[in-house]
Amino acid sequence: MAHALMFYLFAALAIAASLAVILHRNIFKSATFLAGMLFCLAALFVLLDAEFIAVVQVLIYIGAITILIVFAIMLTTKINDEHKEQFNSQKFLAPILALGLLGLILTIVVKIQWTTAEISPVPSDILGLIGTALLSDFIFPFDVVSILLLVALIGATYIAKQEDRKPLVTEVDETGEHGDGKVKHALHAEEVEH
Amino acid sequence: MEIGLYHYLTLSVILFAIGMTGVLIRRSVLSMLLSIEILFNSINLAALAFNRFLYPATVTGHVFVIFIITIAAAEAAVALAIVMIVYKNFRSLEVEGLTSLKR
Repeated sequence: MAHALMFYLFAALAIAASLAVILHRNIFKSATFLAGMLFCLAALFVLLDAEFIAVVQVLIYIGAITILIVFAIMLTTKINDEHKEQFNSQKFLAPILALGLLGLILTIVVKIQWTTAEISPVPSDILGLIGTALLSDFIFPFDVVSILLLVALIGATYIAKQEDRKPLVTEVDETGEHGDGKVKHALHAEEVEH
Repeated sequence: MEIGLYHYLTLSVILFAIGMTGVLIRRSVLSMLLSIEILFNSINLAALAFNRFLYPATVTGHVFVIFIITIAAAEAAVALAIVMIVYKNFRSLEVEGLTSLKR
């Protein structure tokens, strides 16, 4: 009973927070709601007897990824951005499409008879099992992910550190409109200067 | 009613639909990144629910989720580096403005 109560509480909170993420005009508050939604999912992971994943979720998602996104928001977003139009022209079509997909997948989920007659308890040393699995059955994906992380680290550093290069486009019309032809190309101008 | 696999899968699908809507309707690149994180987390929830209710003696779902979180971290780092460069070059993060490759 307590399990059901906790599930419904955190499920409702997660859905409300994720709706706030996609609908809020202020992107900084969107990121804050994302942190809340991730925390609700960490609580659901605890309900699923995955305590280690829940801790990893709080540490890496909330502690690292959300903070990284908040840094990017602070470095790039202007104060008056929230008064601009936030949604594109698909804002009525996309929810219909998403609802259709939702109905489709839910139909499949409900129709399949999952064999969950009796729920056996999880093993006690689940962390040891994860470690053993990572270094035995999943050793090749583990190595690939390690190399991917290294490549992503080097690539992100290389992409972000481009101060000595000339920007491709230098001037944007200040009216806030970004239609065709309003972004001036400065490439040729720079070439002429040289 | 006992909370079972159906409940978790339903929540996961709802979160996936919300995240997909967010990716489709927002104009800012950063908002789309936030929506992508919602998508990742709905998949994590589905993987852990399958692991818990169908194969509770194994940890394959846990390992999948660890890989997904790792790749999400790498994706966030690279995507935010790209966002910085895009903002420096275009002074805007709206995807409608990023049309240099069309010309």
